[in-house]
Amino acid sequence: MKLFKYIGLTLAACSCLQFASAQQAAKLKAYVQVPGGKPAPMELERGDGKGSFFYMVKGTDQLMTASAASCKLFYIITPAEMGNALRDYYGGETAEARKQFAAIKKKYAAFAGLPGSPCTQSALHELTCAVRMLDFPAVKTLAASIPGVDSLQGSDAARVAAAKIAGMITDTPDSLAAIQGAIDALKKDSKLYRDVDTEAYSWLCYALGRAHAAQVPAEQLSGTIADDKKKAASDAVDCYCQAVMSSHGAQKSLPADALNRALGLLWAMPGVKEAAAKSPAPMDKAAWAKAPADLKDAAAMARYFKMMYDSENAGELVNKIDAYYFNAKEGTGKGD
Amino acid sequence: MNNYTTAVSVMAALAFTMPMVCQAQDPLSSLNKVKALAKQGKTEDAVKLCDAVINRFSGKGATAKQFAYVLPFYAWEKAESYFKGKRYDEAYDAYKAFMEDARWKDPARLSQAKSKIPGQPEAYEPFFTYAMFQMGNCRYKQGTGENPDKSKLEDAITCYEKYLDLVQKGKVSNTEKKLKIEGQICFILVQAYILREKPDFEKAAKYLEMSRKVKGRVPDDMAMEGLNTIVRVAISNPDNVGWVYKLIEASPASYNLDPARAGRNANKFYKLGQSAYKVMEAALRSGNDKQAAEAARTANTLFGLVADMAPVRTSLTAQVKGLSGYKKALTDPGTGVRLNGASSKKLLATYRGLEEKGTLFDGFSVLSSSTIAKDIGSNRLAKGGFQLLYDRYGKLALPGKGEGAEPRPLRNTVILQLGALCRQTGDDEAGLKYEKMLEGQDMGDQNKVLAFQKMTRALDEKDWASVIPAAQEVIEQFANDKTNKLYLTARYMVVASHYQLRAFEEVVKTATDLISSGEMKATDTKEGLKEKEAANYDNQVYYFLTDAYARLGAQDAAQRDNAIKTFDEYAAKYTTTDLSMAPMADKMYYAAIDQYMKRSQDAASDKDAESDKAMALKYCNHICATWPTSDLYPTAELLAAGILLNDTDDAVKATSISRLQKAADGGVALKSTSGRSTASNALFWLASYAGEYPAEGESEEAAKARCREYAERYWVDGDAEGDPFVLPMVSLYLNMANDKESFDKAVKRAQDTIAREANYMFKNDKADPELEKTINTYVDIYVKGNKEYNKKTLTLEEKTAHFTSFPGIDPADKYTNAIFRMAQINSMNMELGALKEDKAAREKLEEEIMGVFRDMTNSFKPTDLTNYICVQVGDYLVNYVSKFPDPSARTEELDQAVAYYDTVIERKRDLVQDAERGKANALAYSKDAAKQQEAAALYTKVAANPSPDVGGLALVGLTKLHLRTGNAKAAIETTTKYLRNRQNQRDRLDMMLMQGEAYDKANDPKNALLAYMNLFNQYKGKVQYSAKACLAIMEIFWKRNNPPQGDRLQKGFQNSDRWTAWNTGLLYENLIRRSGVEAKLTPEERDEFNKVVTAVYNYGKDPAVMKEDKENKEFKRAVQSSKKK
Repeated sequence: MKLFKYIGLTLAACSCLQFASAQQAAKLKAYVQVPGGKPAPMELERGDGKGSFFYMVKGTDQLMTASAASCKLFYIITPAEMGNALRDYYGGETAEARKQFAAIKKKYAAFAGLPGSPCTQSALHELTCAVRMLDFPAVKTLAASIPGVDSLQGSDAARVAAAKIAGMITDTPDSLAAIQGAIDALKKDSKLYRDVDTEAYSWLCYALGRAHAAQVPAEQLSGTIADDKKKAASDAVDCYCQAVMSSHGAQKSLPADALNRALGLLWAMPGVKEAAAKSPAPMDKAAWAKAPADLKDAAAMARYFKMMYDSENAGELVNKIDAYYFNAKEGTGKGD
Repeated sequence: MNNYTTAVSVMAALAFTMPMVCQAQDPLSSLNKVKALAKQGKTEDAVKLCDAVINRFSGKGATAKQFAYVLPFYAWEKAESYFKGKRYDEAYDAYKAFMEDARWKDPARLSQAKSKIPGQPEAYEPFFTYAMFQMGNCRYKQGTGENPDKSKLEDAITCYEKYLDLVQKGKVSNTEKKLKIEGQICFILVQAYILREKPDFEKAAKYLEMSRKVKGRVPDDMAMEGLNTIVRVAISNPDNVGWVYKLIEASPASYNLDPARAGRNANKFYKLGQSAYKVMEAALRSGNDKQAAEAARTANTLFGLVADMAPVRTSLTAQVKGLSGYKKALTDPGTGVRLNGASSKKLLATYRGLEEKGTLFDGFSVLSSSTIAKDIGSNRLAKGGFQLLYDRYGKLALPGKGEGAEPRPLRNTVILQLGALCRQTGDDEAGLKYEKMLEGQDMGDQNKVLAFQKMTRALDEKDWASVIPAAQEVIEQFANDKTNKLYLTARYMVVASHYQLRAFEEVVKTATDLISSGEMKATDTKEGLKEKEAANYDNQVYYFLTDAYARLGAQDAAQRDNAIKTFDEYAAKYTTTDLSMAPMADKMYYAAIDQYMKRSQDAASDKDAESDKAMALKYCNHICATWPTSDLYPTAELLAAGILLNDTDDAVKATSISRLQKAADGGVALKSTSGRSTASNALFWLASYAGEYPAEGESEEAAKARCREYAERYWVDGDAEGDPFVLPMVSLYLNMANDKESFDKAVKRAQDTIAREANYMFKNDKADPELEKTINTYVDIYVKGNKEYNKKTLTLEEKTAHFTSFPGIDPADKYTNAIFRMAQINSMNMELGALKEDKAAREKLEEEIMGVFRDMTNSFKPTDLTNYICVQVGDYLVNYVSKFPDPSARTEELDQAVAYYDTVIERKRDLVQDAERGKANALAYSKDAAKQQEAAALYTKVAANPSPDVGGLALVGLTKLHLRTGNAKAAIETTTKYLRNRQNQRDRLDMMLMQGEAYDKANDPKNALLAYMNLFNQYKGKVQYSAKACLAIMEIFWKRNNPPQGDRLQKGFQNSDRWTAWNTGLLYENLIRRSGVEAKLTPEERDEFNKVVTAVYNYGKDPAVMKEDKENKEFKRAVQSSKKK
């Protein structure tokens, strides 16, 4: 009740200009029960960016404001274009959804920061789309400019924090310290860190993987990784694998990219190409038993890639390594 | 099956179109009664009432006309009543009848209805098309309900498709259009196509795709029910499992929901994913790659649909916050989602409760995804998953089994898996870290795995001492499952680890226990050992046991019998020659050969020794004939050749040459270090012996040429750094030089090889007496060869220069440089020997020798030298001293020698016993009783070692000391001990002499005679010894003189001792002279022989002897004469 403000005529007069501009902007429908009022569908004029909203008293031209938090009922009805964008978003049409979210964010900018604001939610979804599209320069910009970001709670806030770290990917050697430092800082905020969902966590793992991989000179990636870079490469592979597992099948673009990168590193590990050259393709049981662990893992990861993602989209490297795969489970009993 | 949700929702919507007749006259109010009856399950009554109303008001009267517009509703409700009563055939017919009944289509009646029902302008018109949908629902119910008749689904599909066609063409009522049920119809068709007799997934996919594009959202419940159907049917036939992900991917938005909605289905998605995972697992095992791939992707897709707890929490919290003050449900028209604050609050509380208990569905999904990755073979991916679970899902737990049961935490399982995966991906440090976290934890059945992993970890680190307790832990864990391969592996590991630790008594104990338990056998279960695995372990255990007995046999000869017994037991058990079923057979036979050979060396009798050698040869032949491709084949040929070479029959010896050739060829064919080593040995022997045993028809010269060929081949096929035959081969090769070319070649080869071997020893801090021998040979041949082939006599300076800066020898290598100095000294000593008559030259050379020696002892302090060279220098000093008439006077040299020996003794490393013996030799020369006692103590200590080169030599030194100090009794004991050991051969004849001397000094002529006779009778050809023995025998008899004369009249005539003394010498003298041995005697031997000849002459002059001899001859003649008569 304390937050509820009745705006009298004087105030209403003062807000004439604002009212005029709000009339030109998009409005939103919501189910609202303002303090002292009855629950009813309502048209919201705009927000104040701090959790309060403006509305016209029905049948009058009196502009009122109320804090969403003070309302017994406050639910913004999803605008039609948001419904469509969400449909594409959940349907995997990421690029299309991203465009729509960008437009919605702009259109409903006046409502940023309200609970369930299409503007803030679209900005969040747009950010997620950018990560899924591996557009990290854009991620950096988007994560830093979420309208009404302070209103985000729980996993939504954590997702922005994770995206900010993903936006730090530069593939330069010094990115490792920066990304590792940022992750450590995030961990210190235990509540925020706890709310990082699995997809956002996969972004952290992926970013750290890229940073570890950046320690390996490019020429070694296309040739053979030197002994002093093996640990960095191995750490990168482990991070990429965590990124894949963290998505637990929910997403494909980033895990597929992580897998591809891990495969490239494993293939460049010392002795792997040489061992492959001496092995039959596919390997038989004896060759599999003797093969280096990195080669076997690479072959299994290549097969995993082809199983889980569209095999027709598998790159040359995936196909090359997959050729060595041996199903070690064949002929075994349960529990072997 | 609850897909009827769809129909209900559509019908509920259509119910608005019913006439508002509750306040009307009877035909109107009866409609409510019909509905109530149908709801109560009184179908028959409801139908009767409908029929009654229709009949009552179907006339042409005014009342009938007034209520004509109501009758179609009764006709419809009749169908509905049948439907609600689950009388689907009748319902189907009733719907169809309604649709086709011309009465209801009468425009006047319809118009009347439209005008009479306020606010419902279409009246009953929607039923004409909607009936088609209901007919489909009837057939669908029949095709999917209890006792389903799947053939009915064909008609259901026909009805639904017809209705969908009407909807899509806009040929339905406005009421139906407003319902936007296209999506739902498509979705029902998806299920109908999947549930029919022969599922048609392609059609299903088409309608699922269509459901995403057409108007109308598929309700969440309906989507989930549909997914249940899809997964259940698809997984019931694993060939179709891939359709699940294809269908989901055709309409992802149907399942991939916002968190608040998705959270409600998390459990369902997870369970469906698990079903797909099981198909994948089975497909991987059966090798069906395609099915495995499709099931894996299906499982992955389903696990991907499991909502994360964090977003669910966030989303529900927001809903609760926004809707908590409002009790009713709301619908978001933008998404069609129904919102309910109370329901969200309840769900949030439920999820928080689950979270508290560790029931985290996203965690389960990560766990399952990791398991899939592991099954596919990627340990890295699996590790990624388990790392994530470890880092982020510390509370993850399976729900308790049964109501109210405690959750089952997965923390330890995650740590266990993570530890194992870290190790499998090469991060042992992390692996160990996680494994240590589990120490002392009660892991239930996982404790077995943990125990086994602990054992494996110790095994990987070759930490045998830790393997044993870890293996025993495994054995305890599997105490009730003794056929399990982990149990049997642990039992095997206990034996193997003791073996690795050289705890041979423990090997005997544990291996015997294991063999006698009979547990090491295959069982026809997946947990048991396979036939070959069991045979492999059993073979290894037999081998360890045999070898353990063999090694214990070095101290206790009786254990060798046990080794042979174990082999016999093995050979009886494994009669097959198939090495895949008896993988240690060749090695076991080889072990038996080794034992027979060793036993032959200390056999009680020659007969026993020969018998053992025959067995060894038999088994060598068995290996050669049975396993010609075995790694042991060349070694067996080599051993056989060795046995044959030791035979007394030259014809047998000659057969060894072909065996040696096979050994050499076989060794080379192995292309291994051990094979080359065998070839090295064989080629050395061939180069040494081929000349002695020419092939049939081969000249001696040709055979010698062949020796050279073998020597040349040695450098190609046998030469290797550190090989034990390389230095002897250098010596042999040097000795083969017979012209300038071969001399130069041999010298070059010798220089290179000596330098290489010396450097090898220097770098590896090794010592090999063979190096000294070889250097001695080199020095000798080098000096002589230069003289003979290069016509050059080397000066002392030239020799010193050559030997002090030998090509290729590191100046820091004091060991080898010292050997060269020693070799030079030895060479000069040999020259000294040749200067017997030239006293001045002798004295000059002796001075030079001492100069070189002093220079050497000055250049090399004991602490600079290796143990071996210290012992060598000490020995040289003692030998040097021994040449003086009174060695005890040479205290400076003896003290110096003791200092070299003490250096070795104090280091407590190798050659300690040699140094102790050497020190004893030095001290023994002293006249100081305390030093003599110290010497005796050292000798006694070293003599405990049965090795002839260690203990044997100590016994020789000790015997000499005893004799020198007059302790004859002790000398008898030491000689007896020495002679009892058949391995003691080097000083055997000296010790036999000393034994005789000891008995003699002990005033025991009888045993003294026996000792001397023993030597005399066996070794007459070795004149240096036999002459001494003969003289000693003569002297004892002469001295004993009992009987003093023979008396032929007495029974048991016996010649006098003195005649016997004289006659013994005479017979010996004649034997040596007549056999031609005399001509070959060395000066030393001649000296000894002459002593016998002199004694014979002197004793023969004795009158009593002469008289007795005359009588003997007369008696002999008389006997011969009487025989002739």
